[in-house]
Amino acid sequence: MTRTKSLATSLLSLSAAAILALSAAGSATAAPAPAEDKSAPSVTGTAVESAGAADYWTADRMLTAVPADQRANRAVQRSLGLDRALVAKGAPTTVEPLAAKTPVLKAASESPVAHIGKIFFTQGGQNYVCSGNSVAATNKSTVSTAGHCLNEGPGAFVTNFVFVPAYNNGAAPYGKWAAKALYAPAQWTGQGNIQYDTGFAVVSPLNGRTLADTVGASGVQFNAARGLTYKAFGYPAASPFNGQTLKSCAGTATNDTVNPGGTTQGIPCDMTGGSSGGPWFVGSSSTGKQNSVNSYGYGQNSTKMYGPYWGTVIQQTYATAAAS
Amino acid sequence: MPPRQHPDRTPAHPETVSHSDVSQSAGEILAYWTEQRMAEATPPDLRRPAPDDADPDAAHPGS
Repeated sequence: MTRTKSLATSLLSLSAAAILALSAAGSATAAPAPAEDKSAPSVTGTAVESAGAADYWTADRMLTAVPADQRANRAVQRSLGLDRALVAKGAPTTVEPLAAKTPVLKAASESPVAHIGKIFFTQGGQNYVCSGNSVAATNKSTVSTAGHCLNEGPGAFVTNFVFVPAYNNGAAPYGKWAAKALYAPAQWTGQGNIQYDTGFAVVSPLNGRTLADTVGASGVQFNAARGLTYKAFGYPAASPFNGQTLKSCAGTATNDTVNPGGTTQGIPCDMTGGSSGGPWFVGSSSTGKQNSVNSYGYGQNSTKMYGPYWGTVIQQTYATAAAS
Repeated sequence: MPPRQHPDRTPAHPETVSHSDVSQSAGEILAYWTEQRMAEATPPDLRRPAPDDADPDAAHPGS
């Protein structure tokens, strides 16, 4: 169903207006304009309910649609003998082209980084994936991640926690490292406070070697200035990603304006679930000091990734794990 | 039912840090993660409700 409306009157002669009307959609009509009104061009329009048109065009109808050349030819015949000056009148005008609007954000693809990896764990009988990073520690065996990747927040710690550094399409080039202890701020394990969504796992040696001696370990930084520029990494697994390769986002951190009472910060990022716990490095590469982790976003199509501010409480959690 | 590991407070920072010593051996954990289980593991939901998704009744309990 269509609705038709006339938008203006004519400066053209009645016959010229008819040409425009006939070349428009079949159901559109043009309101004849008074010949003496030369102030505005004649335009007709029709409001179309697009959903119906889209439904109409089945694959079969699109295949059997015929060329509209005959209609064009008839229009040419009708226009013969008309005064061309009436049609080609007015100042030269151009309209600039528009580029297709593509999403600005898209997590970048990265080659595997030895100290960044994928985490697997079990919670409530379900198997989950997260991301993590090997961090510098006295025990050379400490992995940073999100609090919700090792504890229900609030509630029990997870089981079957394993870290797979440099995971890539199922490959585990540095092996799988099982946790022997898990650490998180009491504010996370006791209250599930998102401001403290960070945890540290201490992993067992593998083949007689420590994790840090095998893949290296990132430096860490606490109580840093707010609003720094970060590069965040992770293995997003929820659509449109598949969790098989490392991705990254980069940007300057800003406060959470949705829940402004907290200390978390967000960077432009569309990574999805599975990237949780992935490291935020100060600066623009994975060689920077780690200063947060991927924690949360808002809604189903979030374009910001938030991470906890690594202050004194998280520093104490790290120090406890690193010295164990 | 898998084992659940409950938090224990650590002596170093008892007011701020909780931890759990894993009761499973490394061998048991590594044996658990078969190729199939790793492939079928899913991400936890890291999305908080957007402001527009909030339940109006929850936001305004008096209404």
